[in-house]
This record gives sequence, structure tokens and C-alpha cells, in this order.
Amino acid sequence: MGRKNIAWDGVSFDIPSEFEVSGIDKSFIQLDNGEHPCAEIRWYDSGKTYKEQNYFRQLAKKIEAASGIKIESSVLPSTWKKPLERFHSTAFYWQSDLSTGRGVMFYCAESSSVMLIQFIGKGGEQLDSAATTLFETIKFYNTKEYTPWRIYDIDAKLPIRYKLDTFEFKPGRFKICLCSENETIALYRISPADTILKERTLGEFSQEFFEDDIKRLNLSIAELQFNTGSTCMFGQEKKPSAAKLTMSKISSKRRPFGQIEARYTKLANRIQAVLISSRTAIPEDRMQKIFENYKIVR
Amino acid sequence: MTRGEALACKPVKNLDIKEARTERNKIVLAYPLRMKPIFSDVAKKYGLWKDGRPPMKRLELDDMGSLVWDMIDGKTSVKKIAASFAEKYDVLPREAEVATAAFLKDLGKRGLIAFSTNN
Repeated sequence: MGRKNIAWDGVSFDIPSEFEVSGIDKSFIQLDNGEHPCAEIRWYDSGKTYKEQNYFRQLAKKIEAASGIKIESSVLPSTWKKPLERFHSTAFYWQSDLSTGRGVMFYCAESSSVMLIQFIGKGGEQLDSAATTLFETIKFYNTKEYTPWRIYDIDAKLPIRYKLDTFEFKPGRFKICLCSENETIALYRISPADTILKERTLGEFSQEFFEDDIKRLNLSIAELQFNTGSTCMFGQEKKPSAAKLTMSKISSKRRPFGQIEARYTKLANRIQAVLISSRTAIPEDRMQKIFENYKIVR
Repeated sequence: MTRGEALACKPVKNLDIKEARTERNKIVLAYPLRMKPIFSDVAKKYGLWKDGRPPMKRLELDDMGSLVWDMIDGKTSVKKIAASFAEKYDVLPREAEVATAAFLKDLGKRGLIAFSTNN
């Protein structure tokens, strides 16, 4: 059985390759087996004062209030014991008129995180195997130097200080926006590139696509064409005005320095773009470093 | 209806739709405008209702829309259409499913297609 890796919001794990991400939010992933949702994964920062009983009681209460489903603690299934031995785990199950589910809540002391994983439906070999794979490969990144972002066909790696701000996964347009104290990085992935660029250049497309950001940051364009595609860079010819710089010192939301780079690679048939906005001047190699770790997986 | 059942549905074209192609091989659909009775009375009064038929609306499809429209034959399921779309435009299968389903839903809302659940 093939598997693929998912990395989202500080957590990564493997799932069977036939599974797809069908729901996504901050600290949340829903998986689909091609027919219906089959698993849900949530995670939280718990701090150092985790108390298993309290957490489980609160969780059961919340779910019962929201859906009327009663959650009962249960014995950890034997096949789950080994892959979960590195965590403090509590297994549970629930039953409603339409479906059943079972899952586990566990605490990772190293990362001070609590994770809740539940499998929906009667189970079977496919789901059991998926559960074992998932448990064996779970990694938390909140104590690491870099956070991986691997979702759909996006594969990126950014320093841990960039936290998930907003995201959008619409057909043809994916965007992940990450923020640090002083900088915002937005990763874009646009497809199908050959159709989008059929009647216009990458520069024309980018100018339209980033119209508001170009105006806001007062950016100018440089466009380069290669045999294997093209690159389009937007930078600031002039330093932002004194008023804008002063405002950025008062408010952390004001980020007057900006850069955009869009790349079209024929092989991947995607347009990848990165928008950086910052409170301080952007180092020359910043964009290059981001693109070194931002790929499309096929 | 489960996702699998929805994807197994087969879109069927409305036979009242007039279909034409532009010079760039894009499809233009002309279809009767759906109006609430109160508005159709007004339209009739102002002569917009010709030969007992409601006014026609035009919809030009882009390349991707044209590909999907060409595949609607009452025999091909939404899933198959999405798979062809994914292959032709080199997009992710799930992305193609969402895009195709949204497009077909929009066509359905305009009354241009219906969905058959017959196997």
C-alpha cells in the first residue's frame, strides 16, 4: 500500500495514497477514502499542565453538547498500542444512529501538544492499516527549526517563526499565508498554467492577479523569459514613505516593504508565486531562499 | 446523497438550448431566461417575450467549460468528466472534481442541464 505525507500547521503524518484531504482548517485535517470522510485529526497546544482526565471530560462534554453523541472511553486497540507507546493515550468510541467511530486522544510531552484522532465508520483492514501508519509517522514541529507544509501538491519548508494566518484551496488557486512578528509570506500555486497563460504573459497575469498588492506596496515589474518557463519579479524602486515607515513602527499589521515573484514552470504546468510583505527591509536573498524550499510535488 | 453517488450522476443537456461555436472554438449557449411570473408579465408587456417564448440569454464558455460541455451526453458520469478534465488540464483529481461539480451545479441552476441517476 502506497503512502503519502501530509504536513500542515506544525504537524506531519503519512496516510495511504488513496486517501485525500477533504477538510482543512487551522490545526485540523479531515481525510476521505474516496467515498466518504473516514478520519479527523485535531491538535491543540496544551501547555505543560496537561491532565488527561480533565481534557477527556471536557472533550466529551463539548461533543455531547454540540452533536448529542456520547463519547465513552475504551481500551486502546491492540494494534494501536505499539505506535502510540511514545504518547500518553486515551482511546474512545462513539455511536450515533447513522455511524460509529473510534479514536484516540494523546499527549506529546515533548511538544506540549494534545492530538485527537478519530476514525469514522466500522473500520476494517484499510482503516486499521491507515491508523497504524498515521500513528507511527506523526511528528510535531513546534520545537523544531523549520515547519514543513505539504498539502495537495504544495511542498514547502519555512522557519518555525512563520505561523499559519490564512489559507485558501479553491480549484486552480491555492494560497497559504504565513505570518511572523515582522513578516508575512504568502505562497500561491495557480493552475493550469498553460491555459491561464495561453493568451497573456506571466507578467500580464501577475499584474492582474496581484493588482491590489502592487498598488498597496508600490511595486514595479521585471519579467524574464526562459525556455523552460518564465519568472516575473516585482520590487520596490523607492523606499516606502516616511509616513508608512512610521506607521509600521506603531502597528505590527502595517508591513510597507514588499516583494512578489511569480514563476511559471512548463514541466509542472503550475504558476508558483510568493508575496513577501515586511515591517523592515527585505533581505536580498529572502525570496531565493523561499523558492529553494517551495516546490510542486507530482 | 453520498459523494460517490453524486459523482456517479450523469448530466443531461436541456434540448431547448441552442449551441453555437465562436471562431476560437468556444461554445456559446443560448437559453430561455427563467423569470418569476411577475417579471415575465412585465417582460411580455414591454415586448421582450417573442413568439410566445421568454427572452434568450447567452452564455459563452471558456476552454475548460467547453471541454466539460462537450462531454455532457447523458452517458458520461460527473466522475468521468472530472477525470478527463484532470487529465487534459493537468490538475489534481480532487481539484478537477470540485471545479467540475461547481460548474455543472451552475449549469443546473440555469436550467441548462439536469442530472440522471440511471445506470
